[in-house]
Amino acid sequence: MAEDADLLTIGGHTFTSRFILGSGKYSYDLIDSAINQAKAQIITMALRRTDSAEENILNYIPEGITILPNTSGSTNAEEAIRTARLARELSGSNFIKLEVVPDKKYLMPDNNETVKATEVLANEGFIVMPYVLPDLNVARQLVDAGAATVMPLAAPIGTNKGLATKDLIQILIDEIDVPVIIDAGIGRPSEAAEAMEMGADAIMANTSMATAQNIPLMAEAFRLGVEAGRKAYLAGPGRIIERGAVASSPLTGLSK
Amino acid sequence: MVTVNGEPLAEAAGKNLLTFLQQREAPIDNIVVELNGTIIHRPEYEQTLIKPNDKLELISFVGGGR
Repeated sequence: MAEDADLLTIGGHTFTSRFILGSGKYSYDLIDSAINQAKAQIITMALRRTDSAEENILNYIPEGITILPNTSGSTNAEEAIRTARLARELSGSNFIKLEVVPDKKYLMPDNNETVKATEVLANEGFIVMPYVLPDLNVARQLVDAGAATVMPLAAPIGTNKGLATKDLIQILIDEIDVPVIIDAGIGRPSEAAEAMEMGADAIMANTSMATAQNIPLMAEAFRLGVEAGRKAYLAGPGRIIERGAVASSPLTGLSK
Repeated sequence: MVTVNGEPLAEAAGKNLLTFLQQREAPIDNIVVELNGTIIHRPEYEQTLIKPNDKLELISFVGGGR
């Protein structure tokens, strides 16, 4: 089937889903249904000091789901590299979602440190998925450094403000050959659909579902948005007429 | 003094890592251990002795991301 051939490839691994889930800010009990409704194949999670009292999140992840550890909490390249190495020891896989965020107010990533960390981690065999401000030159540097994807933010983390960086993201989509995955700020399924229509390769979302009234239902809505946007992109959206109008019914044979 | 996840814990000194983790009831299969900045692999736990000024970090996955 044609649909089966539309695969997302990251670091040599293929996925049919283009919707990556986060696991923060909601009950572990809802992870399973969120994954099912989202039909997600990748879920990201963070690393923290072990509190023996806390339940192990891995017990809540269904079989066959790819765990994408992230380096959240890292404020420079060195910390992110350390966290990535710890993550690989825990997960047994090379996937790492690289987040270097020194700014506490706006949670803006440090693109320069992210490039540095990408270079080191890619050389160590990691499948590096860096989170960045959408900047074409930085994105090119990331690809040169060995990044498997580029993950630009649509709006600041956790804000649900949508495609605030739309024009800059479009440049990355047009110019960068590795998958471009929209990583933060997407607040509504319609925005996910819009990003996919633009040609984004996948969407990552967490807060938009975690802060919804019905998390599994919103996960399903996002999945449908992502799928609709992807199909629209593949179909090639129709053109826009800036002025005037074009009839869609025949102009001849009118009965008067 | 030994610190474990940033907390002082003098009584950890002198134990091997495996015994320490077992006595702490740490979820051994689901944590990674870092000793003075170096990852200790699981097979090395028993032969790793905790020394008086060691800095031990026990790390696991938690929900998070966006």
